[in-house]
Amino acid sequence: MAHGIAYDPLHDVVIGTEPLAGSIVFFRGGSQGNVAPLRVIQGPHTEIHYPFQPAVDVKHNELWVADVVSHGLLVFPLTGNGDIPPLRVIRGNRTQMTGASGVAVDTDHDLVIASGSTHGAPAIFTFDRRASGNVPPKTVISGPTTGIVSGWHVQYYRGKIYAIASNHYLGASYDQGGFEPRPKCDGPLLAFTGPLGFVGVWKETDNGDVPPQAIIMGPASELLHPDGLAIDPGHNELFASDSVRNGVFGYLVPDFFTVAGPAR
Amino acid sequence: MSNRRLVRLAGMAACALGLLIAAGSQTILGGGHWSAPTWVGTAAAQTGPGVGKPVARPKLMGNGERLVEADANGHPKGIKVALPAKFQALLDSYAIPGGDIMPASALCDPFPEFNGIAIDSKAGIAVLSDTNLKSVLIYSLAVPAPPDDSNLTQYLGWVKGPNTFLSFAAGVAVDPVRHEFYTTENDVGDDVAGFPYSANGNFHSRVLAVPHGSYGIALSQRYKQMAVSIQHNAEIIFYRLQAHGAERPLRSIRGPHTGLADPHGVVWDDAHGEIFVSNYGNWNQGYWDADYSGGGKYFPPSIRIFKDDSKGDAAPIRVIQGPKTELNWPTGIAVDPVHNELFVANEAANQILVFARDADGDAVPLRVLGGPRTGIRYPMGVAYDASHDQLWVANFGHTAVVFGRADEGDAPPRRVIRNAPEGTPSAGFGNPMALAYDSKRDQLLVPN
Repeated sequence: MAHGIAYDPLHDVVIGTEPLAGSIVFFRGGSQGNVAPLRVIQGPHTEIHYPFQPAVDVKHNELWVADVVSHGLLVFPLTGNGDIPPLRVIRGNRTQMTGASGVAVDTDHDLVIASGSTHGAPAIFTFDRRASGNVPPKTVISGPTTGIVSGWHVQYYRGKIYAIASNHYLGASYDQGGFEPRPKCDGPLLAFTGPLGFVGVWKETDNGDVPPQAIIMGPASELLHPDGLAIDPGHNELFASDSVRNGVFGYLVPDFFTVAGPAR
Repeated sequence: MSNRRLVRLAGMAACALGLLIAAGSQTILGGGHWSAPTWVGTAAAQTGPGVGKPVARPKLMGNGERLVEADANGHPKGIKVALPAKFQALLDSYAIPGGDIMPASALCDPFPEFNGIAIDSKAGIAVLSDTNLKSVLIYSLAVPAPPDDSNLTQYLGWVKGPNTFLSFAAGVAVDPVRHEFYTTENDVGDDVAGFPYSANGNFHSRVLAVPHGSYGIALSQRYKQMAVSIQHNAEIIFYRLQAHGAERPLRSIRGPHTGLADPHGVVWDDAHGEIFVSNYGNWNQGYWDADYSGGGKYFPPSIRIFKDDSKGDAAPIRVIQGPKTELNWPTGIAVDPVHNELFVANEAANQILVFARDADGDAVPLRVLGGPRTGIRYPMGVAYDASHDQLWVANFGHTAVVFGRADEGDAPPRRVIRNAPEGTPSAGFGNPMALAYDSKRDQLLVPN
């Protein structure tokens, strides 16, 4: 099971996160079949709990990982291996961030973008890329105007944040440990419910309760509750996976990749 | 959308805007816009002994596909489905660029893809789960399905739709006494759904809330219990048969001495008082315990056998594990108590391994069934049909293949059950929740 994947073009390596083993696995690009990983980051020093989306920073040779259960962003050497401690961790009450599920890096402006929750509401954060510890975010996009009811993965390209608003109501019946049904649980909830999800684009400088600059949403888009997100600006393409559709959908959206030129 | 892109996607996908693409070629086989699956069945068909009841057709909600169960006031039951009003107002005024953009490519599979399987030999049925369209298909054990027949195999029933509570349908078990079958929902929906053998269409299932990550399921008539494996919390959890709602478990096998690590298939051998569990070996307490700092681990795959009255941190009475076993992602399992054999769907190796039922340690399989002629490819489920002395193997895709029990090596199947026409490519997606773009190869990477 993998809840995150990234490609490292510098080393030609595919990177996957594995929540059920608390690990990050690295495979040679183009690998196929039952092959062993090149490297595995795993162990008590890694501080990995429930890794979701990874993000590659080839400029600084770093790998970022969003961790849902520890509510943090972990940074490892891009060529790391074994039971190694993270280089930096962004985590704590001053971050205002819980349930970090997505991460992307902007090396031009030394920012890292994360999706998660703040005070129980879905949110998109930016932090100083070089920061470590319990640090406040630079910006937080959150609120009813955003349309995000639940988030998932994010991507970044030239001043724009591309974010998945899954808007999937994941009502777990049991506690995280699987010991007891949650209070007031009278049975399982229907699996695929919640408002229609979408792909949203924000300016990296947006802050507060800001609507997306552009969206992909609606019945013709085929998206119900999208999850994964990949962009290929070179071909003006954006791809979203949808676990309800059990499929992957590609969109030709050249306007989504025009340089925003955000004021700074 | 260029041909370049279509060709690139062909190696990993099944359909693009309804255009079926032959894997590895540029041949476009068909046309037309892909549409969402439609639900089969009517309220009139939703009757059966002991389970479920006819229900009014639920209200269609905004997402256009899934129907949401409504309460007495017509409101969705305990679920918020409306977008925030401020955002909805922006949508209504078309204030946000973009909008309802049609995809230029769609990688999806319009046919079912098999996963788990269970057989009731006396009733003469095989029940197979389908993760792709979130359904269950029921076949006669005597269905004629010669391997050279390229058409879809006729099923007795196809259960799917929102009232079924099927989502990521995985494990299947049958209750030959009450004529019911059960399925686990491995992801998104955290439930076990129960149905009568006669269920069809959008049948209102009897559902039980279970922890997240349920996979295998097995029943005991002696204990009148069901055992459910939970991948994420590394446990086997037990409920009474026909439990529903939020009924609490009766017991669980869980803890470091159990050796459970990402358990999958479960078999309850009432005749010998044992429970068999196939174990991938992935382990991570940090998944559910934020205070745990021990890190994740990989253990070798195994089959762990417990006394069937075990509970708590119980050690298994036998463990099949080691290099001679050839275990590699052991998924579905089955026991033949008459010939004293254990069948293991060895998913990553495209094999069925056969062990002595009482095998222990680094045991060599009695037989290995696998090879290109077998048609075994990503086997997820395996079940034994005692009435015909045959073995059914459910591939993660468009076929289930049937063998004689003693077949081995690269033996061809006696029958091939098809849920799609022969040659239909299978997307092979299992809840794709992540994506990446390989810029060097111009490929999309989709993990399951």
